[in-house]
Amino acid sequence: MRPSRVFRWIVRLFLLVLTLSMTIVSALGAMSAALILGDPNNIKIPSGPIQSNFTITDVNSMYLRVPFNITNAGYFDLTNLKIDFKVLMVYDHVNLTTPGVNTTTSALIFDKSINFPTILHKTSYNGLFNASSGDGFIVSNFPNATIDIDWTKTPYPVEFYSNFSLSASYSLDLISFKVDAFNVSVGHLNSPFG
Amino acid sequence: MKMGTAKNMLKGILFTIIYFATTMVIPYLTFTWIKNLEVMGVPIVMSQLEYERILFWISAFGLLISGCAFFNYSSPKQSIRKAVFALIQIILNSLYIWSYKFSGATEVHFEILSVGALSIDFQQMIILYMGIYFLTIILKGYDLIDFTVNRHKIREKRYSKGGGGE
Repeated sequence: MRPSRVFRWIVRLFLLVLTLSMTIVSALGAMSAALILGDPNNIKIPSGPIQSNFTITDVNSMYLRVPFNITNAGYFDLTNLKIDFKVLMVYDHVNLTTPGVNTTTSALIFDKSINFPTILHKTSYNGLFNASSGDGFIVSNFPNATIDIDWTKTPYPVEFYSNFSLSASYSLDLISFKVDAFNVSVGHLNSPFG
Repeated sequence: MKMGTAKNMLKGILFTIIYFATTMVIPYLTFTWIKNLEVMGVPIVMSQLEYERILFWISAFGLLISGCAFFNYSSPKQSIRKAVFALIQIILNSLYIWSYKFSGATEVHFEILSVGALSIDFQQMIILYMGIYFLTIILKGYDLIDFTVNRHKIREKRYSKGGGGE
């Protein structure tokens, strides 16, 4: 056999090993995605009741606790797990544009991301997204509770909705995914004064 | 028709079928499956336009690759023709993989009905595949030069075996 052919076979063998490895990783990655995303019990956010205190007149007492459960049913470890939580406050703003007219307004009052540890394959992780003592709350976006909010609005003068996202990587960080949820009700206020 | 030629034709048809299955049928079935997937118990919706765009590029390059596979695998071993078609095929393969990126298939977004959205990003994987294809392009380029420079030696060997078509 000519030396050039020997060299060619060596390179070809190297490429074959690379291609086979990638194909196996891709196939297992696709199967992992199917296993994780296919079962509604694998990603549970929240996995229990959301605990919150949105008393906007006392920032230090505000907190948000969201329990979640993730089951990594795939073949690879779930890495770079990150949960991003945003809370919007919806209320009727008094005299915003026209005197005597209330305008429904939303304000971003909470924004926080937390990174969680790697979830090994075939294991479950019970986590808690925890923000307390005003941590993550954007005080500068709070309306003035005394003069801005129409407290006569029904059924609730102030409502809180969250937009949250969960992102993670798997298949040796070659594939990443993100699940977003919008307008999830997390609480309401009747009056911060009573 | 010589025995060797018939064997090469058969090999060409066989590899055309294999490439047709791997570049068109399997991706088509995969994306159709993804389109009907349920996440957190809720059906997800892939926009029809995005789905059709992805399938268009997969079909376009899949057909070209399958066609090239026939000419590549039906050509005699170590022939310049085989080297040329192998090089064209691997370039098309790279474009095929790259088409996953520009058709939007590497960052697929789905709407989870009345709940939110899901996005899957496998750009890193595609880039790694591109690296493998780049090495393969070098190998096929090397083959083309080798077959051209040593064409007399290769022909002598081929005819001394009495094949002609191999």
